[in-house]
Amino acid sequence: MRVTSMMQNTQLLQNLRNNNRDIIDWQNKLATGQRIHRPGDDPVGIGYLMRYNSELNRSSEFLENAQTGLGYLNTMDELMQQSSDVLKRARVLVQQAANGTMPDDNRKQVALEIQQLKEQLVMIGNSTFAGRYLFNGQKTDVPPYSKTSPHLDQTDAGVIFMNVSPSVSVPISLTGEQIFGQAGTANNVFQVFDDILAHLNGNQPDELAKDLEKIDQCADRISNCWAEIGARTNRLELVENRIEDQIITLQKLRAEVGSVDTAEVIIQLQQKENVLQASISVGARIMQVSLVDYLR
Amino acid sequence: MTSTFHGLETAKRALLTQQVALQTVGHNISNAATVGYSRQRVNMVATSPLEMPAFRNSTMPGQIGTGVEYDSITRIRDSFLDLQFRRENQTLAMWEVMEQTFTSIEGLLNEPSDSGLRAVMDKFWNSLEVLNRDPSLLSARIDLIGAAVNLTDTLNSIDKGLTDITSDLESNITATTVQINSLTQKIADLNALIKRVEGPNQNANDLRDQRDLLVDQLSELVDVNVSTMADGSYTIVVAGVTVVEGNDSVQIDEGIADQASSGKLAGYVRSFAEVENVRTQLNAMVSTLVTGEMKVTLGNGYMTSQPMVAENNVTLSDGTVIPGGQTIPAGSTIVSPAEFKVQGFNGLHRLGYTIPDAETDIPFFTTENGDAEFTIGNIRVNPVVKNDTNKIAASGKYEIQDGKRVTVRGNGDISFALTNVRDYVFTFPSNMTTLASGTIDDFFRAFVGNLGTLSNNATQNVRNSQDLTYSAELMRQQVSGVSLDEELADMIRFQHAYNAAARNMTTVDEMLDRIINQMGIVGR
Repeated sequence: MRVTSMMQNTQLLQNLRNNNRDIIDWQNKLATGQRIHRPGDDPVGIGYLMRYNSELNRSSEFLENAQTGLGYLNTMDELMQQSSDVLKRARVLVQQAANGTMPDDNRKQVALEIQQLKEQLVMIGNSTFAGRYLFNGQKTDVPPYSKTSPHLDQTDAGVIFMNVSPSVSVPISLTGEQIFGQAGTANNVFQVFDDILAHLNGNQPDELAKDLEKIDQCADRISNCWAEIGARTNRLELVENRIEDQIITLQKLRAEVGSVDTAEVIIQLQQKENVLQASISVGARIMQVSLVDYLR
Repeated sequence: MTSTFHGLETAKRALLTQQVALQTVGHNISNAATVGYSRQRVNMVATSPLEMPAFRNSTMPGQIGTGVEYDSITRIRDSFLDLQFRRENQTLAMWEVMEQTFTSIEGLLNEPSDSGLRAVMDKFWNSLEVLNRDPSLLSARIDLIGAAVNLTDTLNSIDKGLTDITSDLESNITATTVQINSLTQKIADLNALIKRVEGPNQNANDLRDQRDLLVDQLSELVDVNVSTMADGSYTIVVAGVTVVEGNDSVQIDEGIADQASSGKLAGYVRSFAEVENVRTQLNAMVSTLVTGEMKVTLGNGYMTSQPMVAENNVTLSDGTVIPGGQTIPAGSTIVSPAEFKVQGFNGLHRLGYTIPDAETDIPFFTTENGDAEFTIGNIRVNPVVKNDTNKIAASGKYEIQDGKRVTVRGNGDISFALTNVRDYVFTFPSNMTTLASGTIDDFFRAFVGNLGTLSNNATQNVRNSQDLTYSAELMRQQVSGVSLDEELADMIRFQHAYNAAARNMTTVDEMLDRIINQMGIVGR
């Protein structure tokens, strides 16, 4: 084979070009920690990488949905506690008042306290979470119960759902009528309180004894709702944990596809650097040698 | 009979011939670094000996040599290697252009990153999720508008970027044809010059080198086919058109670009097609997202404000059941889940009601120019919605209060359905894309993966062609390149031959001196 000076030159340049290209490639990977910088780097991997990124973004939204739902349910849980306490107190009072030996004046005093308890219940019914009325279905901007005639107020039947995964949405809200009884019926907790007030003011201990039963019915209804809220809270907590696990899994998967193995890259880079140095020094040495130096 | 002065003549011929050889060595050394130069050789032959056959021959024995002469100076070059080099070079040039185009497109899409189209789309879907979390929340609505404007801006800027790439390609095609015309003009001129110069024992070596270099340059621009004519001229065909024949060249225009099979010109044309393909695919995605047919189920029921047709049997609030396919009158309150066929994101948004007074039939996206067909260039967020966040129709229910419609603010039936658009498996227009069906996210991922494959392929092809071009060039260098060591060795050879010839002449001179001046003088 004939070797000409131009060949030596071309070959050295070509080798330097190749080595430098590889070095830049590895350097970029090391500097960014990312294995894929453009779709062409790994046409299959990029699909997975994009999917994991999207899923991660989406999961954080689902997580927030679940957390919002939990906030909702925790507030409702407290409110059920309060309602239950109100009814317990009302039951004690009515029981005392149902006793025929209680003087009439005392019943008036009991009536005053019952009135307060009723107002307390209306307040509970009008509670808000993050500025939204909890017990008026989807009409979150309208308070469900009026002060004057809460027993006749119909609440919105709409349900508020939270998305917790692409195909699962969990119902969160309970309507006022589910908790406090259907509007206008005898079982409605506000109607019961109105009846009690009437019986207290009218001094009807026998009727009051019957009212006790209605209070129990109301308390049962609230307990049922309370249990429902507890069940939903459990479910959302499970969902929350699952989403958090999922986020960790996704992060791991993303790292496997997209991140570089630093140790490997450093070794590769070192190797390429050695080759580059070798090719530069050999090239420089060989190109200096010429017959000219040896001719007189 | 040889002449008395025969020796002088022989030595003179040697001196002259070695001098030419030394001059050629000098020429080679001077051009050791000249691109396209092929080394030259002086072809020396012994001159005709005495005596050649003729009418009268002496009876003298032997054939007496008469010295040396050169019959030509030729360049050392293998035209087969030229052919190989040009073939690889034009493929390389084409793939280099393709690779550049794909790199530009990849840069434009900016994947994977936190600011590419995927991230922007994620943001858009997520803000729908925020809206669904609390449809009455003003900040959720503002967030959605921001994300949607960001999405349309990103799509518009990709469109602008693609247009920039195509207009660059167009101007490059024009510039390349100008270059081709200039090169073919020069080749035709050299054809004429070479024909004039060359004759018996005359080789236009350096002119031929120049011409070959021009053809090499031409091969970078377009596929080129060279045939050498009997008179030494090149006939050149590029992209199927004869552009040089004898002393004449034909000017070409951009029209030939479509016929180019390789070279930069073909690269530009193919890049053009790839860019348009990218645009078409993205258009298919956008138009499917905004107006593609989809079925949606409104789980909480829905309140109609105009006569509608559901896909399934629905129960109204008054207990009537309307079978699927039959018209549900306007103003009905549906209490069962209702499945409707709608035209994409816009169609779904049109079903919803704005706050506070339940306006409906408002498209979420509009086109800039009012076209029915959505593209990445003309898609905009409906200005009506953009300027008034209340016009985001998240609710699917309204009430009549005092004869006026009042939207149920907390109802998120439509916003819920809008979040589900992300998971809906659309059918994509078959005339625009090869991906038959999938979600919008799937489509974009598949599209980016496909782009990655094409780009990766282009990069691989560039590397392969680079290697092939490089090895063809190396083989050419092996044959035609100047080796300085070789030239220096030759220089010594010719120098010695020259010195020896001079010495020989001195000897003949002394011999003649002996005869003429010193012979026959005895007794004088």
